[in-house]
Amino acid sequence: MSRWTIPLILPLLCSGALAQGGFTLSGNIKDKATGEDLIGALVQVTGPTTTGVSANTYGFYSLTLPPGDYTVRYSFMGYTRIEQPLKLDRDIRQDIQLAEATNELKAVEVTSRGKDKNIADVQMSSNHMSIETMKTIPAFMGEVDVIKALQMLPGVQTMGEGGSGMYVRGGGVDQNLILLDEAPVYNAAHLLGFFSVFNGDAIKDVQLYKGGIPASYGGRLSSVVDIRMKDGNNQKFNVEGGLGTIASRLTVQAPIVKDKGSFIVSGRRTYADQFLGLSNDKGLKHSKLYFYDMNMKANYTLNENNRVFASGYFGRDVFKNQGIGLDWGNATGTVRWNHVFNAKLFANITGIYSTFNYGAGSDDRADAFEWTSSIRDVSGKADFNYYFNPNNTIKFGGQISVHTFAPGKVTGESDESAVTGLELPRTHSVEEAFYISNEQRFGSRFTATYGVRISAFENLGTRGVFEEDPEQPDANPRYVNWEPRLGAKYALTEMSSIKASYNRTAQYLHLASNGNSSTPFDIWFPTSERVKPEVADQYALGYFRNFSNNRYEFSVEGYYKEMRNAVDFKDNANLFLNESLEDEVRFGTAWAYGSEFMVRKQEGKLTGMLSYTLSHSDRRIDGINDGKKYRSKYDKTHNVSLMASYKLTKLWSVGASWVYQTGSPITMPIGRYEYGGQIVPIYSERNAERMPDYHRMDLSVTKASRKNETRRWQSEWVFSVYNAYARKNTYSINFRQDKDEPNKTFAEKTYLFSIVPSITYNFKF
Amino acid sequence: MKPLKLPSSSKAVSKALLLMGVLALTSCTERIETELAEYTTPKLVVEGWITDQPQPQRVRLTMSAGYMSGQAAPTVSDAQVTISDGQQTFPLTEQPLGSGNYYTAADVAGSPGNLYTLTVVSGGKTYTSSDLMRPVAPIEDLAFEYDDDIEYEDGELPRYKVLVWTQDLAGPGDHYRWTSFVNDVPEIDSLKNIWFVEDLLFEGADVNGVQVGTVRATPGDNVRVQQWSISAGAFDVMKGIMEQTEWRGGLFDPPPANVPSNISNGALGFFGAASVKERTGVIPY
Repeated sequence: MSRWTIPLILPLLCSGALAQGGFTLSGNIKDKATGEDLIGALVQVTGPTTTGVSANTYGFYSLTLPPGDYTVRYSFMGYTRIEQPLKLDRDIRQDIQLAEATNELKAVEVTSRGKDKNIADVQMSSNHMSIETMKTIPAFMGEVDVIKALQMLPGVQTMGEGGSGMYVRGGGVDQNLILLDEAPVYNAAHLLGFFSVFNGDAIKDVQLYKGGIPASYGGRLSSVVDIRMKDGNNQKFNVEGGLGTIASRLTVQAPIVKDKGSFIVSGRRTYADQFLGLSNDKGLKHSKLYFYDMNMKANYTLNENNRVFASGYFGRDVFKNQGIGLDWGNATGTVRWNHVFNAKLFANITGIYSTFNYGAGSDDRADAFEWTSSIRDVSGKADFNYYFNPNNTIKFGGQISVHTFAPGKVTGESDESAVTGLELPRTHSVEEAFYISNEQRFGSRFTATYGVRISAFENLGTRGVFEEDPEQPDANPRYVNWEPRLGAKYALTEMSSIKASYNRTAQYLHLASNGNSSTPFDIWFPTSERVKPEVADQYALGYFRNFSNNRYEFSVEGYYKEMRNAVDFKDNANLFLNESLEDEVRFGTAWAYGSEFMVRKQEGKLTGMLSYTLSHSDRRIDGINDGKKYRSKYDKTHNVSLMASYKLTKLWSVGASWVYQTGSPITMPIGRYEYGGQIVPIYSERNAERMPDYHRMDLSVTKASRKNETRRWQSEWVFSVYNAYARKNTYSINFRQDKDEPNKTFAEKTYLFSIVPSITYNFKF
Repeated sequence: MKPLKLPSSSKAVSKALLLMGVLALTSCTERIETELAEYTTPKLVVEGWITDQPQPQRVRLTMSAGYMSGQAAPTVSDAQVTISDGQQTFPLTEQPLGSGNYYTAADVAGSPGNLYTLTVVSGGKTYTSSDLMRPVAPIEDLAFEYDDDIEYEDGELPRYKVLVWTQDLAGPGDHYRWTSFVNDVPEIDSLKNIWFVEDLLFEGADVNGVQVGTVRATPGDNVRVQQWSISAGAFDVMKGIMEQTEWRGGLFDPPPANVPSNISNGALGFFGAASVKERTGVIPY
């Protein structure tokens, strides 16, 4: 740490010092019925000063104001607001509980979480989605899916059918920092991406950052997906669950001590493999294929100023077929301590553990083997919010992580096995980061946020991922990156604003993913002497406008992003158990630019969103495509998403979504030659052609039970249809040799789904 | 060629993933029409081996063509073709004329340890390629096991797994391919029926009854199994070809890429040298 001699200057604290000498209003904002923290709830004061603040991710808020008589208003989307007078003549702690609005109220009376938040906040290129919104989107096989919901947002591209990979503003699938209660999740896919690892019943809130990424986040180039688990109901015992076509879920929440502490345990298990028995294929009949996952969290309030949390996730996919077995999964753990030093200074200390590992094995006697691979993180983190005065909110903190990579180990599993085994060397790396940023208001119209994150990375000890020059001792260079994070907002009117941002991000871990889809067998590998950190600069500009008393939100944003040291793999790369994996990597630069339009309506009987993205991304990598620029595999010119949900009556509601995307770029052959009885393709330029356009409509109908009003047991049926008009969307195009006429070749498309209906029964008591 | 279960070929996992894909989704395929860019620069294609078995060693010369040409590859005649080990030079002649197949004299055999260089002069250009002949361990024993993992159609010949006992030579970097002949007829002369593997995971080990192929045969048939030592370059070419053709269509295909070649001057294909050991067994009743 001594190498860190960064002058932590807070240049603007001085200018803010004028406002000193007031009193501080602070506290927590919670849901009255469940005790859940209301992230982002708004506190607005009118009086001698008119200003506001939103609650942080732990529901904490703080406002320092000149003494006087104020009116304070607490509000949150979908909740009845509280408005009360306040005489500020000393520091006041005021914890608030907001009650969820009844449905009738929701449509008219209720203010949203700062109705004009999208206008007023300096943050741009960011989208918030509540789990309630996600539940209104028709879901594949009826499983509410966080990642699939995010894929509907502008600027987020997908690959192929059903995949849970996200490509944000021209960034790769490994460039998303996916955090579950602050622990990074290395592989967010279950069942090869048809489902994501996040169980909708255990999730409270999801925030996506595509640009203007706050200084408190780092380590990935393109986006942050910050997912927060529910804390657990601290008012009463509560059970909810669901029985679906493919999986069942059960969640239990209860107070540990009423008002003080609570826990939540949520589990999920699929049973799709039970249907395999019906297959006529002998191989499939005796196969196993399932996943399960488990979320747990507990929190306890020690006193007004101290609160502790512990949360964890564990999930596993299992596959067995004809002597070959595979399994993989993530495990994460987070312990947190919230401490309020004083009314102005809030701190959160976090310990994080995260691992992703997989295993493969065969039990054939002569070549039985077991193959394992893993990545593991252990991190410590401290974050501080300093509510200096109403015009300056300073955030600072630091994080240190130790990554352990075990890229592959193979052992023979019996005495008879010919497999002698192999272990690729492990690597230990340290990643450190410190950040400081200030959000400062200049008058009522202009707000700026400025900060910097300084990150550093280094491998520890000796390693041998690539063949070393024996003359040269193993070098472990230390990389340091300064990452400026800037943003500004100017309010044109009460209903419109323009925003601009610039951010630099650095990434030290890279994913070796060769195919078009990501698989559990993709390998994470660290920056090293030869593999330099990836660094991106992104500029964004946006116009935000609300209509009809904030009922409709409209935004348009443009962005330009340049990514240096972008990695790709050389032709015919060998990524499996390759001791010199770095020999297969090639480096270059990638560019992405585009514009995103969005209209959203979040209240009333009809809610929904329409988004359109026009974008382009390409790259130039040494040694690939003869060193010429080529399109990224996720470059899709046009992308339209429409989702709508309508509450017909108290019992019935319907939902629909439609997506349209330009076809993915592909490489097609131009010539051919014969070798060994095969017709071998000769390709032209990489990604020069495109597959047919993709579009799909999904529908859902939800029917709540008539008896819900009169009993504690609440239930509903959800009927959904994926790909309602049964379009055979192209998943891939392959060029093949005709079996009967070996000189003939033809193009063949693969599509995965036609229409997929499903039924889910949900209950709660 | 079939994927070997030894994980070194990575196909065990790919196969499993493919199966998972099939399980998870019942994927479907259909033929489509596509327009492809025009192919304007045909290139020489070389396919040839020299082994340490005394026999006419064959080199085949053809030309590349447009992808949808629909015709057999155009053959190359009137080429001057020689193979040299640095001491001796063996000339090859086209037999029959117009076939594109060039053969040495009947008794030519290479020996392990030599570097073999192929030279082809055609169309005013000279193409060369070299490969080192590596030794190979003998097959110590053979066995055949009826394959009951598959569903047979009516009248189909039974299939037998070919199992070998051998010992990997000391030192890493050995690559193998196996070919089987039922009653002296090769199964089908295609890469599809050739199994190949590298010794990454069984370096120097005793290999006891590992499957190296499948034959269609009836009890009493003689099956001759050849074990070849091939170079890493040959292994990469064979794997590359299979990855770009026969193995495609799963959910996790590697990106399309041109298969490497070891022929100079822009020609395609591969010329290899291999030491070969044989053993013959009988399908049990």
